Amino acid sequence: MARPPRLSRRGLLRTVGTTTALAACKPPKAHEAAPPEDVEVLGPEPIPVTFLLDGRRVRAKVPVQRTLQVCLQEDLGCTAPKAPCDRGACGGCLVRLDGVAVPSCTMLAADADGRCVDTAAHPDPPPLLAALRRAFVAHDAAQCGYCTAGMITAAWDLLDRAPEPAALDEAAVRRAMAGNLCRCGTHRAVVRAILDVAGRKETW
Amino acid sequence: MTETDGRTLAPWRGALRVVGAPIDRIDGPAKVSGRARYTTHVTPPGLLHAAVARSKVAAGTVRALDLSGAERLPGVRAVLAVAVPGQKIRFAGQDLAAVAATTPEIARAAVARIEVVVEPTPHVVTLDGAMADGAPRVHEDPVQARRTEGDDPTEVRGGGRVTGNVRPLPAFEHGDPDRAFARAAHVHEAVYETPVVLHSALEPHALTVAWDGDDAMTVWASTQSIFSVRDEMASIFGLSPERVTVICEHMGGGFGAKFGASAPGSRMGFIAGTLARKAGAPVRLALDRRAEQEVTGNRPSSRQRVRVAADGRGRVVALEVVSHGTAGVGTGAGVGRNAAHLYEKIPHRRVRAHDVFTHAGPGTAMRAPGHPQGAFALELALDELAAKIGADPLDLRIAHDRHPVRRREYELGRARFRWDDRRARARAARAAGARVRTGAGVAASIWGDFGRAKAARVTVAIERDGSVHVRNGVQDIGGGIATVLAAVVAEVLGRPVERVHVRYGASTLGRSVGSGGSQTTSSVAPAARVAAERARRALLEAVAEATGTPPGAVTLEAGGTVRVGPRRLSFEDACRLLDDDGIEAVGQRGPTRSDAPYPFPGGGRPQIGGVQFAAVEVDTWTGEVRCTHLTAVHDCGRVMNAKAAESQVAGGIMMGLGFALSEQRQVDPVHGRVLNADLERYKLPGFGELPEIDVHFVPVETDANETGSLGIGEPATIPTAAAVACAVFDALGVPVRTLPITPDRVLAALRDGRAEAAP
Repeated sequence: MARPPRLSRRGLLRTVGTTTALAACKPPKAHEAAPPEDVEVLGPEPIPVTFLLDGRRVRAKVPVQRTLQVCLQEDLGCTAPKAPCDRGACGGCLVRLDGVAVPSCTMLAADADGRCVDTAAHPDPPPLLAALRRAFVAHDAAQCGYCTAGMITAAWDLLDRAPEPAALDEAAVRRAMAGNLCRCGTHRAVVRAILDVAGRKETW
Repeated sequence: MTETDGRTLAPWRGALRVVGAPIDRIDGPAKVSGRARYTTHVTPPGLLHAAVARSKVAAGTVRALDLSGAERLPGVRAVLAVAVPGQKIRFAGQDLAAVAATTPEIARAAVARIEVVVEPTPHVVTLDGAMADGAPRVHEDPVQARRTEGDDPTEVRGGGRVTGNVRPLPAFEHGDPDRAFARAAHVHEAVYETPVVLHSALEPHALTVAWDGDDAMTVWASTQSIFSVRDEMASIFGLSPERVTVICEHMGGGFGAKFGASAPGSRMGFIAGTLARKAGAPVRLALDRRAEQEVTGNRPSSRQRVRVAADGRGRVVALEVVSHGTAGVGTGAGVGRNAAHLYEKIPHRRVRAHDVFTHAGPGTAMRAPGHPQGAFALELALDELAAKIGADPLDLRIAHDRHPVRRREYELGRARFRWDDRRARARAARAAGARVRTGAGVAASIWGDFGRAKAARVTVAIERDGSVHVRNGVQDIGGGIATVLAAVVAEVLGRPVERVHVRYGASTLGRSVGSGGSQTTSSVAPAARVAAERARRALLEAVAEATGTPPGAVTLEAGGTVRVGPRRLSFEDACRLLDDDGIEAVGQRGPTRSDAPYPFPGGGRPQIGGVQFAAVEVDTWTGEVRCTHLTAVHDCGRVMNAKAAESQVAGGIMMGLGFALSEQRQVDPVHGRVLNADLERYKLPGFGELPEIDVHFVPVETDANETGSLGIGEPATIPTAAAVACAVFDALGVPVRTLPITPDRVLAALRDGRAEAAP
């Protein structure tokens, strides 16, 4: 299957100009700079995207400038990644893209095409994700819960890729989680939950 | 059923089976699996997305609006002028116009095509500027204070005559401070400043309105008060409150900014409801982060001139705080109860606070309105006086505090925190001129039990299948009230918590309170106990009747077994004896029965104490401050859920650390716009700032209500920044009198301190 070209947010802006969303709704004018040779222009019509979401193939037809976070929430009904800051600064929108945690609010849905997107809402959670969920409940690491899915995704990413999770100490966990914000102040409980799971690999 | 009326229900004594244990939150699984539905996850068929055009200037007059560009954009279904020509603009971010469109992207594009001509006029965004002679007037007309359920209901209302941009708040005076200052042996006087800080809930304000005909609507809202949303929408659109259904399944934090259908600086309810009516389709209005930081409320700033005096025997004899702060175009820059009522043994006390209007978004209640600011200035000033007279700050506090529980908390904290050791080490490092200093500080909280009688109607139902259900229209803002309701009912009916099903978060489930003033638990949990006791009694009566047993011979044992004379029935078997309707009982809380152990000022309700001890490390070369340890000793009557209560305190501490060390709204004085209306330049405390936190509760049997529960959300954050500031003073020997305590301020304080050759 032919893949549509990847389109970064920056690439999109370079292509259609910085008049933001207007571009989607207005045919480009003749005097605007032509796109570079190697970039195929998408839009202004909605474009189809297909990717694996939490292990299942999903399809959506999205406005070209739609972010992955909005696509997940509005088109696919996935409620885990939120957009608290909407500019990649708080971790609330984290997803794992081909196994790596990335903010879904600063990435275009078009860029997820053909890829693997995993969220904290995984319906058949891998054992590590399930263990993290249990530990977050047991340590009371969710108050309002709005940052929680992002926290769990960051922790999942950390423990999944750490060769020796039990060797992670509190300082390492805190450093790894520093990109995730919480306003209720669950930080202490989050660290405890992650260390709890990291130290009991046999349970996952 | 008079025996189970709230007034006569015997108070709980001693440890209970379920209540007070560490209980997992019932909404935990939904939240950790990302399945929990927040307002923006609700998508009624045909949903449209709204966006609002906001003023880019801080002051001016609207001259013209042209909405045609937005109207012509395909996908736009309704356009609304919120401002009208001639209208004054008083802050950047003010509502101008709004659109509803089929996608959020189109809505934003349409807003960009709205042309509004605003004729700018001079603005003023700083405290000094607003108080200067000839400053532009922010309000020409008298100002109506906006109050919410987040405010202290016992606070004296009203304000004095506005002069320029300055509005005096009701003054407090006790004794004769002027005479006492004139006679005092030692007087300390200094100015303390706190910045405007932002609630910064991770979920921005959002609401979705779906009309049902002309006279009814359903509203999904991210709110701290479902019923305030209902009443405001009913009032805006002339509907009967009964015809407005409000739903808030989960909400992503409020901290005082989410009361009513509108944000403090944006008419969200009016906009969403009007657009939905115009478009004939449901409309969702979710604010973006910039608007959230700019127009949805803030904690007002303060500049407090504090005078505190001691006599020759080390007794503090007089205290005066004169404060000016800005809540932007709003009101509420008072400095709380601390100076007036915390140290009641100071015989002469005066507090005079003032709102100073500026062209910035309105302030609103933020987690203990006034108190964290007031605590910071008062406690640091007290420590500076203590240093002058050679007193230990902890001893000085205990000597001037009448609250018996708080005095006990100080002593407990002294031991747990190892106060004397830490103070001695700080002294040694100071004396040695060490690069990295340590310091220890202590500060206190004063709050009241604002739980209310008959404010919540809780229903408890027992079905024939043995299932138990609790219903109430309260919202769970993250404090864990839903779990508390399950625990209370489980306790009374001898059931495991997980067998009690709680429905909450909708106005159809029974009247309830707003989650402000730390009143949720002490208003709603008692009503649940009353309802559960009634349901229990009805169950036993029904079993007695069905089995032909004398009513007194049927009892419910711990664990839920029903004893019928010599026989024992499981709870489920007993419930099978019910008729088809099962049992349904409604409970309401009775009036506050006691102000024990110590009254809140004004009397009639208990005072909630709480003290916090902070240890800091300060690098005197870089000016960096790190809070390394925080010991919190609090009381909240009977703790309902040990896990959630501890989480509330840990969370309050984190919020207090942000106030102490990193958070401040920055407004560009030239353009009048917030420069850091985002989450990367507005510095929330994070994992890097997390200290070692030790939380300890002093159990208090208050008998104030049917569960003995009091609030903890606000007390938890009141003393934190003050304790940190006092610890920094201990570390350096010179005070940093301006929050947040950033490295530049530490270095400046060290430089100035050396210049003064401080003792």
